[in-house]
Amino acid sequence: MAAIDAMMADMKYKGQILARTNKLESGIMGAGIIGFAIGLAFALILVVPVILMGGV
Amino acid sequence: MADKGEAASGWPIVQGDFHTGDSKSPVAVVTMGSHLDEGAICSAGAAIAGSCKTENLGLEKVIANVISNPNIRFVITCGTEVKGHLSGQSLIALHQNGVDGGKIVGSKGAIPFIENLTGDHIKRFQEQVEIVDIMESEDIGAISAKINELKARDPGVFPGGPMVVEIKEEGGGGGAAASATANPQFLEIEAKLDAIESKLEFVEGEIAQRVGRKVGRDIGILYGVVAGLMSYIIITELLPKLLEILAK
Repeated sequence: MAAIDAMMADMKYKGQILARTNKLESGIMGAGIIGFAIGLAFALILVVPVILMGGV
Repeated sequence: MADKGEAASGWPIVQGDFHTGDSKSPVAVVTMGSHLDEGAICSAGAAIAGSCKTENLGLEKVIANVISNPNIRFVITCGTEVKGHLSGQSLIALHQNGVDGGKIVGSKGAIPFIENLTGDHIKRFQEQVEIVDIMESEDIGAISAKINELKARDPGVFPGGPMVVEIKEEGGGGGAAASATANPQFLEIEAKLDAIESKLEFVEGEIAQRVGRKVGRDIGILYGVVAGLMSYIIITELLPKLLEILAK
């Protein structure tokens, strides 16, 4: 019984790690595109005054 | 006045968590998972009153002390049911259905196995006493009233004299039974711990997802800024030079 209990505990631990990693990745993937759009917009905002001031 | 007989020598013959009163009384009270004022219950007229937390050894002790006193003709089951063990339901099932292959027929308890009682003992218990089920009642007044009601219809001593049973407490139930006997609320606590663990796992998952969103957004912003500036440099600096080279 002790061996089975240890195996069960091990499987449970691996399952928890897998679930957590999956949640973390899904969070990164879900928010990455929005972040990219925000970053691009921010870069354009930085650049527009330079263009308007005849920097080009 | 109903006829009275003698209980077995040294009654109660099995030691346990109970109080004794008048051994000539026809009523025994089992408070199951509750610890009531057993002294007061005995003063109200019970021959014996105590708790019974397990559906194996506990029930065996109750039956051993009941059939060793033929004056007892009623067993009142009261108090709260013991979660997991269901000793009250098991006692009623044992009285109604008996035992098949060592297992109490109809018991919903965790380990309802009788090891120290024979078919004769169980038959004697079924014939000697009537079970009076007032489970979940912890009111001493109600229990006392029930004792007086039963004493009023005492049929007298059960013929055949006391029946003595030897109860062996060690080496009979196995590891699971021993641990369950040691802590009768074990199953309930285990279920609550499982529920807490499930909630903690859910919270951990939510935290991981939130951290993931934050990290993903920050990395995205960084990539977006770099991509925007690179585009600006390509369009304003490199593209005119490239066109100039091509024009030549």
